Amino acid sequence: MATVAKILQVATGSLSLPGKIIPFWGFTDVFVGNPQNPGPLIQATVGDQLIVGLMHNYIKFIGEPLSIIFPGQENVMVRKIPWGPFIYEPVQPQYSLGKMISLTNYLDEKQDIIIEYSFTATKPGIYLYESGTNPEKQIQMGLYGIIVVRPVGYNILDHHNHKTAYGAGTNSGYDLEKILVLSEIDSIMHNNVRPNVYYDMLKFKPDYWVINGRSFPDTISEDNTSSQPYGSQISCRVGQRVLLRIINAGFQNHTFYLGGLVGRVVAEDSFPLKTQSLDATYEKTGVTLGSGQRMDIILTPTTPGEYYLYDREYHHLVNNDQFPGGMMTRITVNN
Amino acid sequence: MPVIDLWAKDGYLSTPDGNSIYFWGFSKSETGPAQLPGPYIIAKQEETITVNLYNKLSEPVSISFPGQPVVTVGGQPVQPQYSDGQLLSFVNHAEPGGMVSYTFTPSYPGTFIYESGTNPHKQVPMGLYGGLVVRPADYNPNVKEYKTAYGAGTNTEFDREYLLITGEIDPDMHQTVEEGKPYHVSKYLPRYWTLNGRCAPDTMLMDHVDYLPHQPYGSIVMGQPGEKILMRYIGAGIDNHPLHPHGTHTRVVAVDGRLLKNGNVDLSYKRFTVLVGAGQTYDQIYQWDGLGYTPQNPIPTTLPNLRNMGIGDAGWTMWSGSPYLGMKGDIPVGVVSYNEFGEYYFMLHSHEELQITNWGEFPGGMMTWVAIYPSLSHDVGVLK
Amino acid sequence: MATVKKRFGATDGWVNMPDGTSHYIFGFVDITGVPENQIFQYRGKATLLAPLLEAYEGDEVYLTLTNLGLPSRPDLDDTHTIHWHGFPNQIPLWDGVPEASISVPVGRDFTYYYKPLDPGTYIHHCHFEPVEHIQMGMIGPVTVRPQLEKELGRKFAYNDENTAFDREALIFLTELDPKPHHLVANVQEFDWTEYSPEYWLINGRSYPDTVKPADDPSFPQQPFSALVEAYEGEKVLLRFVNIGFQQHCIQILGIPLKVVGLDAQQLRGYNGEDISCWRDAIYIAAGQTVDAIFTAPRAGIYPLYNRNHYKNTIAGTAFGGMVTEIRVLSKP
Repeated sequence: MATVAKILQVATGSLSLPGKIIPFWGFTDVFVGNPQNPGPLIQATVGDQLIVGLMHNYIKFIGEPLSIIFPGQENVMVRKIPWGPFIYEPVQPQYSLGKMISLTNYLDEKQDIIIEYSFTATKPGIYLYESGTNPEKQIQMGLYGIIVVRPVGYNILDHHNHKTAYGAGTNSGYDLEKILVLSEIDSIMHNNVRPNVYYDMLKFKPDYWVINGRSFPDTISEDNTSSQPYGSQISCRVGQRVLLRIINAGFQNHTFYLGGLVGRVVAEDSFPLKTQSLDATYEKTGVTLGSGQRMDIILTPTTPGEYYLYDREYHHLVNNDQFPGGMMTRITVNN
Repeated sequence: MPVIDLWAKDGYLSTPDGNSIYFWGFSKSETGPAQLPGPYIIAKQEETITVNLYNKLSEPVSISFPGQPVVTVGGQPVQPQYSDGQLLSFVNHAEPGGMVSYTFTPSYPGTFIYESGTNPHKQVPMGLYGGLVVRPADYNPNVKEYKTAYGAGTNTEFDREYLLITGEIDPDMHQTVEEGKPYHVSKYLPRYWTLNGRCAPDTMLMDHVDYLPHQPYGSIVMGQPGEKILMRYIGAGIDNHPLHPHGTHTRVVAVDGRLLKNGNVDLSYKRFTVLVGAGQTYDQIYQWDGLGYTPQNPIPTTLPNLRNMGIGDAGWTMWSGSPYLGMKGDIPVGVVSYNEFGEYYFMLHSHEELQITNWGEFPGGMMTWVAIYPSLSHDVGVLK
Repeated sequence: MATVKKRFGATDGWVNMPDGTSHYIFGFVDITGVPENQIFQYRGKATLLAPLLEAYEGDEVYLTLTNLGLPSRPDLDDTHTIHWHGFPNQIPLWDGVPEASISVPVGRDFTYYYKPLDPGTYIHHCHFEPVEHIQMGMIGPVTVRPQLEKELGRKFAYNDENTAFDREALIFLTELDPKPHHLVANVQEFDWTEYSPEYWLINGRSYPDTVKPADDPSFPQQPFSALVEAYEGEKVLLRFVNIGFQQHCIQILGIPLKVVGLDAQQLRGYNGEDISCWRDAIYIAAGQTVDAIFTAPRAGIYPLYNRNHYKNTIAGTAFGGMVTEIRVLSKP
């Protein structure tokens, strides 16, 4: 059991989309660094104590209250420096004049230097961390990231949980793993959002669809140090078990299609489907994920070649209305 | 080895409100009409089939067969196709005027989609999709325990079966394709919703009616009390649709052509509304047992004077005028009853209710009926 | 087995949104036991949601629908029906589809009979021109309680002790597009393919109204609060219903949900396998219901919201909409 600490800041930056550069708000784990989308990956092992701090950014500040929520985590605690509470207390939604203004305790840049959230990673899985303040605006602007919680022993050869997503006996053993964060971007909204001004969400109409913050063909570029650091291209050999960890961070539903291949769904919302008493895993050619939902799929390609993985809502496979683009990536299967 | 020929070509769809809409579809022959959806393909598990695609359209066309292991073209597994380094097709395609031949051996029984893998943002909404049914290796329609969707012993026996394929149409988008103008997906706003390529009330017509040459498949579901009616849903459009059959729940036995069963564990479940997700399939058993009322065991309420009631406000009704199956009663003068034998009609429709309109006018769209007859020929509800 | 006799009147009314706007609705009002010469006092008093219809498994339910007419649209003589959405093995006479049996004209009555055998969460709604009458508000919840409750004197979602709960709450989801409501009030047509809601509602209200008491005088025609209250450790059954025209994804921050039933069927496999499952969000399509149980965690407030965050708005002007609160209290 270890303590995993991550200090994040929120900053303004630029997202590069095919044919367009737009402003965004993102998390960074580098002090006054450039923000990224999705936010920095946080990795932990079951039993770890996570401390996620959100620090006031004096240089590239957004100019409105900020917070982080942890959907799927229970008993999240919070403290603030320098004005307290100093001792961790349970997170609570925040109110003004009797009406909720934030889903959780937030960083008030007028007085707080840092707000720290803390919880124990009790279950393996993939989880979102995301804005809990003006979430309709801040999540769309880019304030979301992923926490991976692995079972104890996942990295220990000969451990029965070695290279499993959910531990032994859950049918979640894998040879390689890819996290695929689905979302959509409304570039007009990005260009028009103002701090502390309510954005009319009736106008929300996305025009870019992304995996790990990138639109195809950028999705199949390597990882890099840009504001969209995570590629989503997959390479594997025939017979290897590829663990696809799909998270819908967007507001729309998405149907993630496995390029004609069939995968086995082994976990939904990070609850493994195979338990000691029941094997409820099932096979699919594509999965529809509601907003905020996650699915873990084991894909074991049997034939070499290239396959595209994409949103089966084909209108999301465009950039600037032109196919190919959008929410699509590729898996290359070698002999 | 079965060989299926499909010709990609264009044509015009007819809607009940009098619209004629340009579309792309597959035809069974060079001279036959393009149709929506494409011809049903019935294959058999472990039996190799070949699908020849002849492209009569002005841009490349391909067919992908999601869920089929190892589709080959010229002996090689299908591969994405590029033009000037840009992705053009998910699988090998036929150039305009050309052809491509796909071969595969279905290893699983079930219900599958086939659809264009080229410019799918345009070609699939334009109509290049169809249904593929794979019979289990031990299928025998003449022996009850072998007339199944997924093989003997899988709890998927059925008496009748129906394929119901959902789709959407934005007529303006179709017109831009007809006129060769740019296809802007951001302008997409569907005005019609289809079951088997037709909008209600055309969905209620029989298969192969003369005046719908491009839309040969009806979607009325017919059966008898207590029968196991297999409904095979395919979401061929780009949107999800919650289909709700009145009358009773369905038991979902398989998704995407994969049985919901692991060893002896049977994961099938019952729902009254199934969300038909884009590109996905749902095999379900609908079994209506009724409530047991007959003139000898009468209903516990009194039938009011029908002159005081609303019956056939639209000028027609599907009702028999009687509460009892197989009986007919009085229908007010001036109302046409389409009820023949005292059968029961249960609506089956999308519960995103704007989708049961034709360009905003109810009734229409993604709606049909389940009709329960007192007795019905064995020839009804057979997929050929 | 008891006999349940209810009478619903079909009429119109007005509902209030947090931005001060009012919207014309069609709906139902409970007129059970009202003397015949007084039922017309209920014209114009339709509620959103329509009254709860509740029965035990095996009860005999006689539900009389009386069409009271639409006082704000006297020219409109639409008939109405009640469709018990999801009733197994129904016959057309009581299925409430006007094209397949009977509908009820203004000034007339019709009695539906139900003997529900499957416990769970259902919906009732008018099926006359359903795109209009559902959007206009003719929608309500139906609960069928299991026999096991009578046998053991405790509460259960289904006939299974694993579905025990202490408290229950309704999370009934709809949207409201003010344009058709306005046009219907003003005798004009609406193209339903242009449907574009501006209010997203739980139990007929938009946050912050969702957390106000059921009898709050500001909402005379919206009598369902969506505030959920429980003591630590109690089991709470949430009955999710979606009878809007969109798909929704509902999340409670900090509380996982155990889904025990879908569409008024306990989650059991063909051979009785327990296929109940856990979720961090409930993705629910139009015309579906979900029964989910949670155990109330430590005291505090847990927000419930739509993860499609653009729906958590009051007509695009402020935060609100499909949001409510789970308030957990320390044990007394």
